[in-house]
Amino acid sequence: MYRWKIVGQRDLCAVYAVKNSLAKQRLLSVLFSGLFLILAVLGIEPSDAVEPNKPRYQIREIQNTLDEAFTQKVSLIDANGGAVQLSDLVAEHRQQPVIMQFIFTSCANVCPVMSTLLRAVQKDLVGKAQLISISIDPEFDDSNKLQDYAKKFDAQPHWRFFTGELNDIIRLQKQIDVYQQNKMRHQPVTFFLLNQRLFRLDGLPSKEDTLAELDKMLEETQLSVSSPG
Amino acid sequence: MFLRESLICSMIKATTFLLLLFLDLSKPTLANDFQIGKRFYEKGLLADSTPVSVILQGDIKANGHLINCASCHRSSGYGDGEGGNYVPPITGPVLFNEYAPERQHIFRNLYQDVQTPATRAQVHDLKQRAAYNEQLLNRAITSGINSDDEQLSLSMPRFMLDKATLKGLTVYLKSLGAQNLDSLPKIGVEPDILHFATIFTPDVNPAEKAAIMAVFNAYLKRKNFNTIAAQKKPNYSSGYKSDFVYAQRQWQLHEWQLTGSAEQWPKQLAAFYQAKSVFSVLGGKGQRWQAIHDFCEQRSLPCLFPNTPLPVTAKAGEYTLYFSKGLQGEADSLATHLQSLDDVSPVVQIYRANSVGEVAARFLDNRLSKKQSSKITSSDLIITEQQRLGAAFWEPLLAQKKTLVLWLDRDDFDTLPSLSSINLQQASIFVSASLIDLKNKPLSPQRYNKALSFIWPWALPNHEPKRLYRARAWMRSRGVPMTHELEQLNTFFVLNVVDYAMHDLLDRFSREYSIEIIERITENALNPGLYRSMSLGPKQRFAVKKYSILNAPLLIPENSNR
Repeated sequence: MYRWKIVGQRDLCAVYAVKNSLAKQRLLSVLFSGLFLILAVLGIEPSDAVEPNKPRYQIREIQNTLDEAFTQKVSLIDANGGAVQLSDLVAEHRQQPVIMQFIFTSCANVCPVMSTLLRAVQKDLVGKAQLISISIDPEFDDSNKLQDYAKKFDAQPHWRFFTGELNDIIRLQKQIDVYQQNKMRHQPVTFFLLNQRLFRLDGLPSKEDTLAELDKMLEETQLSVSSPG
Repeated sequence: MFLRESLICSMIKATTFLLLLFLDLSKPTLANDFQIGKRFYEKGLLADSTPVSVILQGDIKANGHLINCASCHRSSGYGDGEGGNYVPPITGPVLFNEYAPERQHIFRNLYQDVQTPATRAQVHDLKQRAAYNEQLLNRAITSGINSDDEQLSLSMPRFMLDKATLKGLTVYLKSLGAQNLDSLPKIGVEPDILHFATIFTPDVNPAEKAAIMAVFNAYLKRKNFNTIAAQKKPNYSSGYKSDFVYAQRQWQLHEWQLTGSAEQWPKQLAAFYQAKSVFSVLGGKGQRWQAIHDFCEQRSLPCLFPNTPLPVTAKAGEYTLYFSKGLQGEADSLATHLQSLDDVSPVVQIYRANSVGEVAARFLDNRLSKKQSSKITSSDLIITEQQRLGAAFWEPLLAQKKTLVLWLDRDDFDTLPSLSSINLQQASIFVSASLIDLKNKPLSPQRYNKALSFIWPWALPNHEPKRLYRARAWMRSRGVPMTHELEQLNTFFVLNVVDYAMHDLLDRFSREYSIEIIERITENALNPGLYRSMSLGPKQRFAVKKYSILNAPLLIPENSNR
């Protein structure tokens, strides 16, 4: 009888349920069961199932933030301890798409899934795109930790990992609207930088979806992905 | 005749016993299954020790090294809300019982540090499903079909499990969250009382201890008063909080004062623990913490943020969380600083024999020698335990072109002559601010000479986080005299963190889950104001990571007349 999720009425039980006595709970249980049945007839969907048409990610172009975010000085340190400016890094790969994620190496839940996506697509993007993962926990993630993380995910040379100064990385996150005060609340976001345009993908797509979206963006930005060499 | 029969009988018995023993050993035992399940859950390894194959998001191939049960559902099995990605609990009582849309289920999950509206909506979703059994669990893990024949989210990886691992995993999952009224007292949870302990080593002076205990007593008094008030009117909340009043308990703190040498402490700790099990150890103070760290790890006992200059840094523990790496962190940051300078005169490390300063000197040595390109030379000047310091000791040293690193306590440091009266063209001096207790005992303004630099683990002076003012106000309003601000504010932080963690924990009394919550919330605005920033993450054990090297004149209080 409860096996129904009521569209638009999800909090009904939470708001009106009465606590305390068992009798009250039983009474409420009967009342709500009746209500569920009525609403079930009106329009409901099975609970706990994945909504088949619900998109697993959203993608949109970010306007007017590219220059602000990527041309000013954000000093980064790569996994070998070398210093690099983000603006130089982006300019260096102007002829290729740059796929960028914010992660941290001790992250348990979201980052491994995000990094596993890059691990999966990197083989299809050799010579065609640069992959960048920037730590949002730079005080913990030193170059050694990034090296270990890169090794764990079999990163190839076109996938690079960066750390840096906490304040610089917070500023960068704020500029592209991904900053959370607590890193444990960070969202799964992947950025695509193509031909001076910035796209933002929110969510956790499949490998096939990611490559298809990249193809669409390439078409839209008219950027060739052939290897510069 | 009788003897022979008896002998034959004994031989038959022995053979039967050995045969039974062999048969028993040859089949996997419950303990074996548990270990197989635990290893799969935490490391993604199958029964044959190979990493499990995983499919993520429908088409991403991975393995158990990259993704495993514990990475998302956490070691406790109580799930997570990281990144707005709600991961439900999979403890035994949750999985192997029917799940009905009861308010307790919904509201309990709402206590988690869930973040986004989407996540909250997920928690609010009215769900129901049948109880899992081994077969249904296998289907969920391998094919992503839940116990009600519905498809699970693609964020739940699909694992290619074998029979032996599945059996082990079932046994292991049943053990997660399986606390009951009989087992809870063993972890310090009694029907009305939640037991905690704090530990002091013999080197802590009575004034420090009294200052720390004053904070504990004031906090617990208030906390217990509020708990009684909530329990007296169980229906006070218009929301759902009063549903969990039953989970609240009076907090009781046990003071574990250690005596004698460190070798004697394990026995003393075991005796304390046997007399009264506690849920966790809060704060405390001691110069050396190795024995206490080992005790907490062996007992799976959370040991939270002690005041110690020597945390165990060689191998991070599972159950012991520290403010910082202490003197190891100070030595590391000084080495980084020295290595960044163009010209460093030879380093002389000064410390007393058998003091914590000696350990700090070894940390610095190791760090300086690690960098092959480093040309910094280092030597030691060891002060014997009986030796008294004075001008005759310091003046020849200060006249040389040396980098002096002082790992000394305050009494020894105070023997350093006034630097303004000495020609200091040559020497530069680095001092551990924590060892000379500079936070609690500032120097007179005349002593802040530019030849002097401090290794500074705290927030920059006049740039402390705002919570410092709130914490000080809390102490004042509770009548706690602030005689040892550093230790007292640290204690206040520990109590706050544990209070928030217990609030989220509700009736899920799992020590592992309490640590997972603390890993998550430490970065929230709980910094007592002493540190520039504090944060933890999964398996991170040191909350403060950044130290500064501050030239002494920067530390002169703004209102002082030089």
